[in-house]
Amino acid sequence: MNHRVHLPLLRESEPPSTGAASTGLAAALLGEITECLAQLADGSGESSIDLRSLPLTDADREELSCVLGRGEVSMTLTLGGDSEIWETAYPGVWWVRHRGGDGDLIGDFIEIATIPRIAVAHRDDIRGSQRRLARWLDEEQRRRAAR
Amino acid sequence: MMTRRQPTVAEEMAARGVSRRAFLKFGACIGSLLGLGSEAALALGEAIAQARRRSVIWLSFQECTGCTESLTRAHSPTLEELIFDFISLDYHHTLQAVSGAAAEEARLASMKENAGQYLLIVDGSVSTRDGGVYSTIAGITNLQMLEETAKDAFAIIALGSCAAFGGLPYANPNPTGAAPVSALVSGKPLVNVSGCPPVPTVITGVLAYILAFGKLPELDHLGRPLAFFGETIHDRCYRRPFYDRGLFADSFDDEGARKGYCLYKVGCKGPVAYNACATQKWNGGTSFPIQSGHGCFGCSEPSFWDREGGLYGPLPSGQLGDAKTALVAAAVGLGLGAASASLGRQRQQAADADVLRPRKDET
Repeated sequence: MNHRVHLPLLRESEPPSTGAASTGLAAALLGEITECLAQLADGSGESSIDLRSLPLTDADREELSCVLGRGEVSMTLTLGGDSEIWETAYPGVWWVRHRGGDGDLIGDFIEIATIPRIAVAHRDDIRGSQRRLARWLDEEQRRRAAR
Repeated sequence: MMTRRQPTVAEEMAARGVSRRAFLKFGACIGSLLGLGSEAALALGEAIAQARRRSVIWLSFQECTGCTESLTRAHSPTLEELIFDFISLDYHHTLQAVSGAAAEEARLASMKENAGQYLLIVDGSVSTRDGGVYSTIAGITNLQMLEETAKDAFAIIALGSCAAFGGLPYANPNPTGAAPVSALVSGKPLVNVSGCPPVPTVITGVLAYILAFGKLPELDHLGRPLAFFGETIHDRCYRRPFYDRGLFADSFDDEGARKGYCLYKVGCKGPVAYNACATQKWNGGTSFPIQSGHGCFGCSEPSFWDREGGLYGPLPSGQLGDAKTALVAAAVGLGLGAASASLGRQRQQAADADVLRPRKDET
């Protein structure tokens, strides 16, 4: 018996019907993303596409969003306004959307990477964490000793 | 004696609990505004993180404080506000806590301590008639203060149309002999960030670029950053398709206006105005004048107050065509728009050559 395992989070959406307002840019972008994935797979490097730099219509954006879908991972970065990061239905293709404090969109990127760079803790922050946690432990030991 | 090392911006921010991700986000978003590639945007964020706070002296001359309001009244917390964490604002009339002699001492002390390194921002035009007596601060004319402060500046930002091109004080009959900064200072890197006021994200983008890379961004023929002033409002206007189809509002609140048609006939200067309002917008990206039903004044252009036809007259036919010519646009579409904008550009360049020099009777 053939048991098919359905993974709902990785399903691909049906491409939307192409309306008059679609310029074909979404299809061109998907081609570029495919090439970037090939580079990522063979270790040639990560890529980033700045969607705000492109004259995408709402229909183009909708088409891109429908085809890429949503994958298994999503994150929210709370830093001067929320940034939403989610992996698309195509592992290695991430949508990174930055918002300002008032909720306005200030950055919109497709990143082709193992994990978006902004999600990775910086080495300086890791050192800072180690120092802060060690300080907390020292203070806690002193507090306990004083009891 | 050992001098204490000045911390980097990243170190200062880390002490306040701000992680390096803030710089990545800032670099990505500002890099996007500046049209930088992803690697250059990354480099911008990293360069600001590793930089030491640069001293900034902000001089306000014949101005209305709108330029300061533009930058500081954005909804918070925003990228625009974050820029204040990356600089040491040593002198600014409106924002500084001290006043009088103490304020001037702060300016002089910063100039001495940071000679050759401080960034000078000027908003407002400079009175030059009768020795510049029409605008003074702390007993000296704006002209004297500019000369004194510009001498050891690393670079100068002429912020707003008054500082960049003279603005309202320069308008006919220009009673104070107002002049733009570029007409009075030479031998210093200078960038004009025009607009009345300039778009806050444009101010932030230019500041961030200079702080990160230690040089000015690429400029247009009027000394403005190309990344923000490379296209006309008309080029990026969402009402452009109506222009191309010959659909216009003939007056405010007529049927065409209500349908959102092109505002060219009610005086929109979008075809000859180079600025980023149509893409960056105002009030947290909410809107811009054309989206609110009003034509563009072209406030980022030299002498916009004195433009032929006034603020509400249609652009002269030589620039965009009369109503009949405009209707032809419906037939030829984008071609005429591009050609008209190009004509406008040529005319503007000729006019601009004049405004960058003070008039003879003003010097």
